[in-house]
Amino acid sequence: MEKLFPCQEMGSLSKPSWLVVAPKRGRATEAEVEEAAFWGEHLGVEGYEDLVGVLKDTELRGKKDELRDWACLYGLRLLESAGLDYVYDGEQRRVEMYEYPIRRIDGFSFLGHVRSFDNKYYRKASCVDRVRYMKAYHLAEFAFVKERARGTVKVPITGPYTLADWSFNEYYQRRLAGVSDLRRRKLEARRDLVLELAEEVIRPNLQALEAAGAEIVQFDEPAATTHPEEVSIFVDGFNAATEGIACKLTAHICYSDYRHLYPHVLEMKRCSQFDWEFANRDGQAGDGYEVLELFREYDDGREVGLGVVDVHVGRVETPEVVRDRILRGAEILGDPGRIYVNPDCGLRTRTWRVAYEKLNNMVRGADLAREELSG
Amino acid sequence: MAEAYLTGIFPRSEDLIAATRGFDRGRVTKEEVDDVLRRDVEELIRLQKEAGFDVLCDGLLNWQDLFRPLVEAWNGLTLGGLKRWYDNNTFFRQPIITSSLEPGPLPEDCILIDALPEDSSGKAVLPGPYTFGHLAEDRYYSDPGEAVTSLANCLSQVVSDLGAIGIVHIQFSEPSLVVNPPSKDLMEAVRDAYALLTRVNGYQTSLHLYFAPAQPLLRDLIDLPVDVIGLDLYEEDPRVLEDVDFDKVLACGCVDSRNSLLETPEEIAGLASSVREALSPRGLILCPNADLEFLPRVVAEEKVWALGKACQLLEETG
Repeated sequence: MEKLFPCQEMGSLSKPSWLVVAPKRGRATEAEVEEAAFWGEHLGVEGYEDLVGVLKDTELRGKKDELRDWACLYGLRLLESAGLDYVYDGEQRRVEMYEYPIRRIDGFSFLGHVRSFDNKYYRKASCVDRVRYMKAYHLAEFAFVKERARGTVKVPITGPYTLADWSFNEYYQRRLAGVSDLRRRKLEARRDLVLELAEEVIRPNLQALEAAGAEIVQFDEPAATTHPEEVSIFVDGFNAATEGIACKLTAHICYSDYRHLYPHVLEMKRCSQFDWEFANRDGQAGDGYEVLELFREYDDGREVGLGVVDVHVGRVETPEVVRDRILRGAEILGDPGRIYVNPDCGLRTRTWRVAYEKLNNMVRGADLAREELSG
Repeated sequence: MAEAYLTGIFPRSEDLIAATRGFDRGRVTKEEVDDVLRRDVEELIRLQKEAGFDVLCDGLLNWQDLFRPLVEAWNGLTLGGLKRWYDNNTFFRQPIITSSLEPGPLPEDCILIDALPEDSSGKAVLPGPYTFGHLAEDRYYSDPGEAVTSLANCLSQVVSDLGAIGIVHIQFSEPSLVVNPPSKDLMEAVRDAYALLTRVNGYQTSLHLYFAPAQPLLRDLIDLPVDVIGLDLYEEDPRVLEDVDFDKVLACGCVDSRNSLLETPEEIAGLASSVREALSPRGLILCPNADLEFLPRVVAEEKVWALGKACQLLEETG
């Protein structure tokens, strides 16, 4: 590690209105043009005046691809400008972390919406046929980022267990129709789907990314502990997907009961870092970080991506709060050299202004923590 | 002879989804949402009727989660943050008990029973007191048993009120009883709670257990004074229940509300027959293993049809 407490992104940023709404409307509003100009100048986005010109003067229907490129560049520069060491594009090309990959994997069919909570819904797909790799669905976005990035590039990819858990599983259950115990049938079908996704879809994606020069890939697996009895399937999925992969691999798991992960995850030998959420559960006593004791309890020596910024509140943490969280985490872990600093999760629910301020303060907090330890 | 019924929150139609989303974004009025909601409930009632169901449910299409109308109506409760609904990718707002619980009248549009045809019987679904207490954050009562008792008191008021609007069957949804079983002491409070909840005559009552096998504590639960016990056959191997004296009607959760794979009527009838043979219950009701809300509406509707046809098959084969 080049310095103590390097800072990294942890997934998606919100998408600007000039990307999401303006192309549907056909024209950008004055506010959208101003927003693009403000952030372009503020973040030092090269050639942002061209985007402003496009937004001002052009019919935008049919220009979504061009605007997406701009959004990726803005996302990348936002993370870099905030001072992060490890960056990506804020996932500006992806509709979200589930639907984007599922639409690019053969064997899935979208059936309609299901409720997440209240009046919030998401499109849920069903696995209706054997899953098959169609193309390396993150390759183009990676190439775009790699060519332009000033920081080190870390590619987020949704892991096989979460893709399976967030989908219905028709094909693999039907294949096991002879198993009369329905609970066993469901579990075995789950394992089959996860492993085939891992081997047939995620591994070729990783191979393609690696061949294109990716050095770090982050598995996003928020569902890892949803079914505690299936954590071993999550582990097997990771191991199967990463067989033969040499680049650095990390796993981001958030809003979970991390105790369920152990001891199974000790078998994830190729995963060199766990990125968990802590700030969300942190009280005044700094108790949100106590779960780090698991690493000592199980003698797990891998790195930790320490969530020090709560992505679900608008309040911006001060650098001092961030510093204290980092030092608390380092104290419990017993080794500051294994700590990376990041938000709890992607900042997509925050405005760019709030996300930027949070990231700025996160970087400043890491500086303060570094100073504190260097005496 | 078997009958069929729904067991909880039914998925909203794509129209209602669009309307509620539009409402949240300020593009659709409350009145417009209510219109779509009414149509949705009417369609669901018609579907159940045409599928041959006897006891009909409004699908709780107006409920944001299993607790929400009660939290909003009763004193002593406030809404907390989002919590995962068991092991689903679905969330609920956690009720927080802040002071002594007192029941209040439910909102008029909470149970849309007036959509029922005159010759039909209505079913209501309520959270069971143990599940309610287990999933709530209790900042007031010093003992979980006290909270369960107070929740049962409030629920019993709702039960009494439901008679006045023509409800004949009340289901208590109690997944926590099997997912996180109570201690021995707390089980006593649960027993007392159900004695209170079933004291009012004139209803058929059911206790639905899902998301985990009931087998470890079914012997404790079988004596609760309810008429029907619902089991989740996607979590339960009924063969291990053979030596339970199942002196109740069995609600057989034989279509999976958590997978879009459609069960055929023959599969459903076959499963129900084998369970009936193993348990010899007093009667048999075919139903989803849990709320169908985990499925898109079109899939849930197909499952309703399959349940109805499975009932016919069972009737034909005796």
